[in-house]
Order: sequence, then structure tokens, then C-alpha cells
Amino acid sequence: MLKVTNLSISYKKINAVRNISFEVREGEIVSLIGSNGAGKTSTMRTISGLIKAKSGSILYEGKELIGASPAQIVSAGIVHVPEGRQVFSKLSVGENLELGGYLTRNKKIRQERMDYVFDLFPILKERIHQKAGSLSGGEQQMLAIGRARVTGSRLLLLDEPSLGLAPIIVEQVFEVIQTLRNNGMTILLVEQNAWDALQICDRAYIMESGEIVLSGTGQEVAENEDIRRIYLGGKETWVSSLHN
Amino acid sequence: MGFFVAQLISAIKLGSIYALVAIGYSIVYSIMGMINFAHGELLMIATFALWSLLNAGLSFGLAVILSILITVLFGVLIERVAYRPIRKAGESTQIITSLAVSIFLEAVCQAIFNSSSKALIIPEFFSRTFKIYGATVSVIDVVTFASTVILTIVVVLILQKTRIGKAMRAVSDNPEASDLVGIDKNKVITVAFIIGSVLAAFAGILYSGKYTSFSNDMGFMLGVKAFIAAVLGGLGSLTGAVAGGYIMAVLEVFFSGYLPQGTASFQTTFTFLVLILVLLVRPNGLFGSNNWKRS
Repeated sequence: MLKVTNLSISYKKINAVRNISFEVREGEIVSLIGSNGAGKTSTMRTISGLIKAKSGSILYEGKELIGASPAQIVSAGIVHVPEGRQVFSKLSVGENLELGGYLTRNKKIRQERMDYVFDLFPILKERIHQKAGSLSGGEQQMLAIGRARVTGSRLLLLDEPSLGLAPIIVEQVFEVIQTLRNNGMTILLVEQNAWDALQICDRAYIMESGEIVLSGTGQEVAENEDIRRIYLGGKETWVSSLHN
Repeated sequence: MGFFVAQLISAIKLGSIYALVAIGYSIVYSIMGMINFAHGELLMIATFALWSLLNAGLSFGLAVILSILITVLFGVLIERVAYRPIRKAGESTQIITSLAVSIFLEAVCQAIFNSSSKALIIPEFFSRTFKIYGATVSVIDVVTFASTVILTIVVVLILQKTRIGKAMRAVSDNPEASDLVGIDKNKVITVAFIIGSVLAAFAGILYSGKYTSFSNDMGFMLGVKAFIAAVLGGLGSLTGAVAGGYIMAVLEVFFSGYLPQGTASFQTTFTFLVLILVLLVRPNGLFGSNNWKRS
């Protein structure tokens, strides 16, 4: 579905990503895991067209995405939920979702997708007239994911969906990710929360200083000695390191 | 009583002009984060276009419609030619560019039409007068106020109800997220300039129609005052722009009417003094939110 080949990205004159290749197949959840500054977010932002690649190729269903605008990439079927829950905070929940369907001129289709989102997140229906900025962090994350769903895209790029959320909400977010996949969405997930990400993903790529250093199924990666030591190191330390 | 009502009426009509222009500043600022100091020149363009078309013998109604279209064309052209290439260049570049555009347009206008002051002859109907509580009101005063109310409502409806209006609010709220749902920023910015230009055209025509004489420097001072009105109300806020426009006009007109003999010429000084005080207490303006600061 998505095939990234020899992608390099320079960001603010730093070589953020060097020559990485990976792929996401239809129906998979694929995780990109790595520490801060490993180049995960730059990779996501390049796929969605927010930043330009230095070299390499990004093929989506056989079509080259390098050089395409964010809007073209959304119409192609890829939607990006960036880290930090980027909702339209002064707009209502309903308007946020509607804007997800900005490129979907057919009102009926847009409404069907919105109804799907309301089924998935009933809380959003209750708060439909509320300003998005007044929602809790978890609700905003639901809204951001819901809005992405309304675009009708089939590939979802999710960047740090659990960042800054309470553990119980994180659990819900990970459940939603699986539900979305079961309903036909393909997901590329960037997470610092390596443990949870490895539990739900089919395959994972580990990034370090702009390069992919390891890949495998979620289980293989989770069982890798080096990975256990560096990224997992017991769940306790992982959680506490989040608070630093 | 008559004097007070007369003052109030002149404040309302001047405030209407300020409000129309201030909305233009605000809309463009909220979407692009730039202050378009050339905005005032659109009033000049509308007025000179109308004047030329009337001189060419067109009927008043047709001339008004055409001059609004010409103003819109200029507004959109200014954005395309001068602002789009420097969109990511930083605030100071943008401000200097917009000042350059302002000076350029004014100079070109002077070169074509010279700087003498001209008179706009509007149909007699508009200068008919009637009395309210002993104060004289002319038809154009009523038209000015009514146009402002109607246009403001139209702008609000566009922003709240239409697809492009929601996209405009989205871009102003979160430019990156609006990219990610596929909103075309160029289109949104163009529409912002179209709306601003229509309002500026109305303001220019109503202003020159009321005061009947104008010259190529008319846009600058009006533009600056309307800009200050927008800042007073809170840049980026529509309510703020309208409120700022009327507050500014009330201060100006009442200072000039009620200050003691000999000090009335200091009306602008006193007006700006009040504005400075307001901004000391509320740096983001009356209706500006604290989180408005753009990066």
C-alpha cells in the first residue's frame, strides 16, 4: 500500500532521516519506534506533504507522493493525525468533523462517515456543539482521530496518539486503533510508548538517529534483547521516563 | 439634545466606515498573520474607479458595481503579486512590503490623476435630508449605516455557515491541521482578500459620497485609523473590528464636539490617548484573546 524507498529528509539543515526504506501493507498496523529525535515525526510529516524530502521515493498504491501537496495527499487517501492533538480549538466539535470531510463534496457520504465516528466516540456526539478547545486531552485525541476518519482516507498516520494522556485513556486510544484497523483502515503508528505499540502492531521498525536499525513483527521486536534493554527496560522505567 | 444627537449620528457614520475597513484588516490578519497596510488604498481605488466611470458617463448603479469589482481585482492582484511570494518571509518583510505597496499605489494614483482634490457627484437622492431629534440626517448616512450592518451580517454568515467560511476559520485557528484535512490555503487567502476588498470598496464609496471631495491620499489616514480600530477591538476578532471602529469614531467625534474652545483640534491626540490606555490594560485589544499570539 505504502512503500518508502531510500528516503532522506533534511530538516532545518540537519539530516533528520537518512536513507530509510519501509513498507506498510493493506490492513496492517505498522509501528515506527524510536527515541526523541530519531526522525519518526519527520518521516510522517514528509509522507503527508508537510515537509519536503531531500531524496527518495514514497509510493502510495503505486503513485509517487514526493512533490504532492498535503491536499493532494489527503485526496489520494492518506491522512495524518500529528502529535499534540491538532484540533481546530475555536471551532465546534461538529465543525471539526465536518472539516475532515472538506474534500468530500457529497454531503451524504460525509454524514455517513460522521455517524460512524459518533458510533465510535459517542462522547463527541454529546459535545457536538462544544468548542473543541474545551474538550479534555483524551477527547481531543478522539476528535483528531475522528476528523481523520471523516476524510475517508484508508491509510492513517498516527503520531504519538498517547502523548500526555492518562493511562486509562491511552488504553482506550489503543483500543480505537485496533477497531479502526478491524474496520478496514491501515495504520502507521509512531509511538514512544513502545510497549503498547508493539502489543498491537503487526510489524515494527525501530529508528535511531535517522536510520532504521531493526525491523520485524511486533513480537520479534519485543523479544529482541537490545530492544528490551534500550526501549522497553521494564514497563515501570518506561512510564517514569515519560515524565522526565 | 440636538447637538448630542448630531454628534452621535456623525460618530455612527464615521464608525461604520472604520468598521468596514477594520474587518478587512482583521480577516487578512487572522488568516495570514500579516498586517496589510495597503488595505486603506483599496478605498482610494474604489473611489477613483467610481469617479472615472461616472465621468465616462456610466449610470451610477453600474459604475458602483464595476468599481467594487475593480477594487476586488486589485485586492486579489496585490496578494498574488506582492504578498504570496513573501508569505513565509517573516513579519517584518511582510509589513515593509505592504507599506511599499501602499506608497506605490498612492503614487501611481497621483501620477495618473494628480493630487488635486476631486469631487464625487452622487445622485441627488442620497443627499436628501430629514430630521431626527433636531439633527440633520442625509440619506447616505442611513445607507452607510445600513450597508455596514448588512455587510457585517453577510460576513458573519459566510464565516459561520459556508464551506469556505469554515475553512477560513480553520486556517486561522490551526494552519497545519487545515493542511492536513486538505484545505487549499491559497484559495482561502484569496477569498479573504475578496471579502476585505468588497468591504473596503463600500467604505471608500460611502466615505467619498458623504464627504464628496477626495484625493489620492484619502486611503492612508483612513486605513491607519481603521487599523488602530482593529487593534483596539483585538486584531483577528470580527466583533472587535466592528466595536473598535465605532468606539474610535465616538471618541473622535465627541472629543472634537465637546472639548473646550481652542483644544478641539487635539481630538486625535485625546482619541489616541484613550487607545493607549486601553491597550495598556488589555494588550490584545477589547475582544482579543490571550492565546491569539501567533508563532
